This record gives sequence, C-alpha cells and structure tokens, in this order.
Amino acid sequence: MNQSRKPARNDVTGLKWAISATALAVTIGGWGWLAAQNPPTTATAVVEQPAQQQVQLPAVPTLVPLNLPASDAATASAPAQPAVREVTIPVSRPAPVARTRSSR
Amino acid sequence: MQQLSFRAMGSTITIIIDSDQASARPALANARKTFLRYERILSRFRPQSELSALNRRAGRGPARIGQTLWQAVQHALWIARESDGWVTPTVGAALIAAGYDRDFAALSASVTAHKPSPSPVPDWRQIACNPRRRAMSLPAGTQLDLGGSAKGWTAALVARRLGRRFPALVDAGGDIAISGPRGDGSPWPIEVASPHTPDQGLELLLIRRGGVATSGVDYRRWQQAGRWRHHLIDPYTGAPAVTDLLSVTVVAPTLPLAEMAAKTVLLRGAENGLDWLAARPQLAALLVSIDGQIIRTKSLERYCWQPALSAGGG
Repeated sequence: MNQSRKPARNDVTGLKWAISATALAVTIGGWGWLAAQNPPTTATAVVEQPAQQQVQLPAVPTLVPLNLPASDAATASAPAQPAVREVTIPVSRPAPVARTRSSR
Repeated sequence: MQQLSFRAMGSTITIIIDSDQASARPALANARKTFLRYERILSRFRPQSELSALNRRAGRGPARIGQTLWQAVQHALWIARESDGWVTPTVGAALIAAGYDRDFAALSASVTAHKPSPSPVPDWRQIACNPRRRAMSLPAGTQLDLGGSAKGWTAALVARRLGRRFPALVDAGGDIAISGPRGDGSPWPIEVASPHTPDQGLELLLIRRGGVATSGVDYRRWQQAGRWRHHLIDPYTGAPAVTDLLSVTVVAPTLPLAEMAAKTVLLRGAENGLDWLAARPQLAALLVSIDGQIIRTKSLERYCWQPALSAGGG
C-alpha cells in the first residue's frame, strides 16, 4: 500500500511567503503604472490674489437707544427734511345726472 | 349712457343705464312696464285697482289679494315698524279728509271743500295678514294709501333687476335708487335741490350704491278752506303734520330706507328728527328748515363733492 507524503511544514511556510511577496510587488508596481497613466490635472482658471491691501472700515455708528430722548449731537447731525410744498389740484364739478327733491 | 323718462305713480320717472349696449333699450322698456303695471295694482286713485278693491272690503273680513299687492303692503308695514309708526299706510282716510282725494295733478288746480279732520289714524298693527292664504283683513274705517312707500319700493326693485346687467339709476320723482357704481367705477353725481329755489342746488352728492330720498312740504300742497294743506299726515293727529322743516334729504343703503327716514325726520321736526337720526349712523341727512336754516349730519360729508383736492408733495 502506497501512502501520500504530506509536505513538510517548512515547505508550506516558504510558499506562503513567496506568494505574499509576489502579490506585494505586483500591487506596488500596479500603483506606479496607474500613476504614470493619470498625471495630476492643472487648474483652468487662475485667480490672482490681489496684493494684500490695508482695508479701511467705516466707524461703527453710535446707536441711540429708542427709549431715551435724542441727544443734541444726534439731532444736530440729522439731515434736513425737504420742505413740503402743498399742491392744490383743481377738480371740476361733475354735472349731476339726477336731482333729488320732494316728490314731483 | 341711455335713459327713458315717463309719468307713473303721480311722478316723473327717469331710468338711466350707463351702457351703450343695444340690450339696454328693451331693459328700459321693461322697467317702464313694471312701473305702469304696479301703478294699476297699487293706486288708490284708480277704482279698478286691487288696492281700491281691498279698501272697499274694510271691516268685512279677509280678502285674498295678488302677489304684488301683498308684497307692497308687507313692505309698507315694515316701513311702519322701522319708523316707530310715524310712516304708516293707514293714512288713506286722513288724506281724503285733508282734501287729497284725487290724483295730485287734478288736485292742484282746485280748492277742495272743507272736511272734518279724522282722529289719529288707525293702528297699522290691527291689519291682519294670513301669509298662507295671502289674505288681508282691514279693520272698519281703515283705508290704505301706499303713496309713501310703493314708489320707492318699485324703484328699488327695478334698479336691482337692471343692476344685474348694467350700472343703473332709477329716479322716481326725486327719490333715487342706485344699483352700483357707473361703468367706469365712479359714483353717480346727484344734486340736492333747494326747496326755496328749486332751480338751485344745495349740495352735490357722489353716491355709488343705495338710495337717496327727499321728503318735503314744499310741493305737494293745496288749499282747503283757505288753509294750506300738504300730504304728510301726522299719525297722532290725523292731520297734515305741523313741522319746522321744509324738506329732508336722506342717503341710505337702500332707497326704501332713505324714503322712510326722510319722512320720519320731517314729521318729527328738526330736534326730534336729529335725535332719531343720531341712533342710525348708516343714515346721512340734510335738513332744510322753514326759516331757511340748513343742517347737515356729520355722516353726510363722505358723500359731498369737494371743490378742490389738496395733496402734499416735494
């Protein structure tokens, strides 16, 4: 009777290492190949950033509380109201279409 | 604008339609027919009228009457209720006693003989009505006169019918019903005639809808035994009212309301009449006293035409 000979433990381990190394090499090589095929794109619009400028912000106006009487300063700085001009539009008297009076 | 004028119910009736449509002409003709038909039914001066037949049956039990007379009397009873009895249809006998026993056109040319004045007119609440049979029973001695209400009632009815199709104004001898604004949306300008100088106007009113009526003792009057008499009977004396007012004009949401109010105020006199008006803010009035004083209620201002419009601008 023939008996199959089991491979030695050392032989199996070495085979596993060989397979893993080969897979790793293929992976790294594949990445390199892919990188060579898809170079990074360059931007189509270029925004030139203006040179850094000193920005002058307007002074924050002083808020006058509503429940306090306006100060003289606030009143003095208020813009002058335009003069109101009264306009009289003459309207012609419409002719009556009927007259009401005691029964005729 | 199209209009039609004719005589009916003792007055000149003018109907105005603010439209150029050809269909307005037959509408005007139908409106005239309505006035003439109602006069045939409701006039106490026509012996063959239904009203005269009902008056002849006074004191003899219920009488079945037609739909138009039934509605006209119900309207007159409503007027009596709203006026606290001051404007009542039971003044027929009092008017005859005062000399108004024929159409006014025939009356003004003659001086009627003196007849004794009746006592206070019969109580309108004694008129028995059976709506199921449309029957009415007048107490003995009660004679109905619908001159104080039928004309305005008919005018309002006609204006309402016409108003479904056209802007319309119905002028029934100076009592005016308005269906709505004119075709361009503007109000109807209506002049209040001065009772002292009828060719002149006291005020120009701008009215979009409703009614305006004037009651006065300046026109329908006659002489009886050397005394001037008029057609507005005081229900409490049975005689032509003694009042300090010559005429009263009232603007109201409806013409019947305006008509009732104008008569009530005139009968009550200036002071009591203004008190009565004060309790009715929907009414606006202009009173002319016998001595020429003119009184306007505050509520009349919104109807009065102003000679100039002022606007502020820059």
